[in-house]
Amino acid sequence: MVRVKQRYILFSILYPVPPNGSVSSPIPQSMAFHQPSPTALTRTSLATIIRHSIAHNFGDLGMGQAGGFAVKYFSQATSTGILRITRENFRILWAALTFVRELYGQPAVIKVVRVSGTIRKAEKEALKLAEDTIRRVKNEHKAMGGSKSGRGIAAIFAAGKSGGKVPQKATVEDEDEDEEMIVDIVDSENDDDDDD
Amino acid sequence: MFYDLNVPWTSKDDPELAGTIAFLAELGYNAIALNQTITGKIPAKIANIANLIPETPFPEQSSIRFLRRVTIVLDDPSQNYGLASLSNNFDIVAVRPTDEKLLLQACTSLECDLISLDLSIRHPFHFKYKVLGQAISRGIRFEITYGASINDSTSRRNLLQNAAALIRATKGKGIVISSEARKATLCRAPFDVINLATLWGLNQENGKDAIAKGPRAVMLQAKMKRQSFRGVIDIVEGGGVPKPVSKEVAKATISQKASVKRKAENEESVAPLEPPKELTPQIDEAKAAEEGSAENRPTKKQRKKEWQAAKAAKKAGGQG
Repeated sequence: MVRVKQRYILFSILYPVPPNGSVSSPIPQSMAFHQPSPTALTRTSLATIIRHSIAHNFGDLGMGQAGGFAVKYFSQATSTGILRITRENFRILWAALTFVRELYGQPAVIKVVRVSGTIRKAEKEALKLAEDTIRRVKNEHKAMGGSKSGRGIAAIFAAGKSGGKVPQKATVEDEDEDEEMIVDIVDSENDDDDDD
Repeated sequence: MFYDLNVPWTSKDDPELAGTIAFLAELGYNAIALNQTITGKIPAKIANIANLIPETPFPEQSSIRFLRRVTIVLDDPSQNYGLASLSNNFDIVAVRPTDEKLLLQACTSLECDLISLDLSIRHPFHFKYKVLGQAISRGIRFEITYGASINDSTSRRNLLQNAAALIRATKGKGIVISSEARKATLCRAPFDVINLATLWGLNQENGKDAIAKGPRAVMLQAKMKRQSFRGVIDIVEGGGVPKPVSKEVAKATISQKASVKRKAENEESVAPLEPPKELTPQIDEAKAAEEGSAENRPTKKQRKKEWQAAKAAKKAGGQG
């Protein structure tokens, strides 16, 4: 029996419009489009939104082909997630992600970071992505040397944590990854405080 | 390198435009063309159309290369568009034909770099390879803009239909995909765009070319048209610092040799027995130069000797 070939799609959600009101101090440029997702956005609600996009753009045929995806992982704090879909139909799912315009009234762009054949590689890439983002913010903070942006960063992370709640538990691996990310975030926040 | 050849220019102080540029940079684009669209009647002197876009519009975006583009909406077939003079002011000159006649004119005769059809509306004519192929053979590319299709369902349908037709008619060659995004929300990451292109009928490879190599070719070709000799030869700064003296000498010897050889041949054919006196010193010089160079070049044996000597010296040094 031949194994069913899958594709794992690692995506990250970018918010092109900065939130109004929640963060008063100027946001560093590297973090301007990375925000924690709204609290209402969970794995199940995300799946509903994507299914809706598939149904809208590809109709019943598309639903039949690509409706059978699974959200393997989603983190509100980092706005990244992993989807699983059969190999033949991943382009339909990808296009449906591309056509998503907003999430809960907030303009959003879903960017596919990596398409991989194994979930391991997708996870590794997710970790790398989070680390890169944090490194970028740190570097920019250092370059600017100001405390203003540092507060902005802290505020963003705080919002992410309060909104993040407890990440869903799907597999052991998924949970590990999420915790590691949160640890990273806390580290960076401490660093900022030290700098001040 | 990923290119977005169509971001509508509004004004320098527009926060929407600045946001769009920043977002495109975040998504991974390296070059952005700011587009100024001109509609209606073209003034008699087309070169008078001012370029409203400054040279470096957003200095804070250091990673992005900015190009300045103009799009002329063609709607009058009788008007004579002297587009060649426009390329002095702009980096890229594009046209947007509105009917079949103008499309034919744009493909066959107009001096433009890019043909940007409005694909979000239904066209009452088919795209034919016979027409589009002429443009492709002239090096003009066709633009597909996806921005409108993300916002609106009707234009998405039309775009799917038109893009598929355009890709079929051009056989997947000479396509450039750009955003034409007035808002940051309408921009998509390069690889997402490539995936969309696969839905339209391009394969992955051609899709990548349409957003990386194709726009680059458009940019370079426009540049060549503007500043090079007949669009073919351009002077490029070579890498490194050349040695001016030795270069001149080398050039002189080559040219001398060539001229001497040619002259000698001619003379031989006429009077092979008596070489004219004026030429002899030149020949001698050239010969001397040749011999000198031959002498200066170390033989294999010499090189081996030198190498051995160096090795011995090294050994001695190490021992000492």
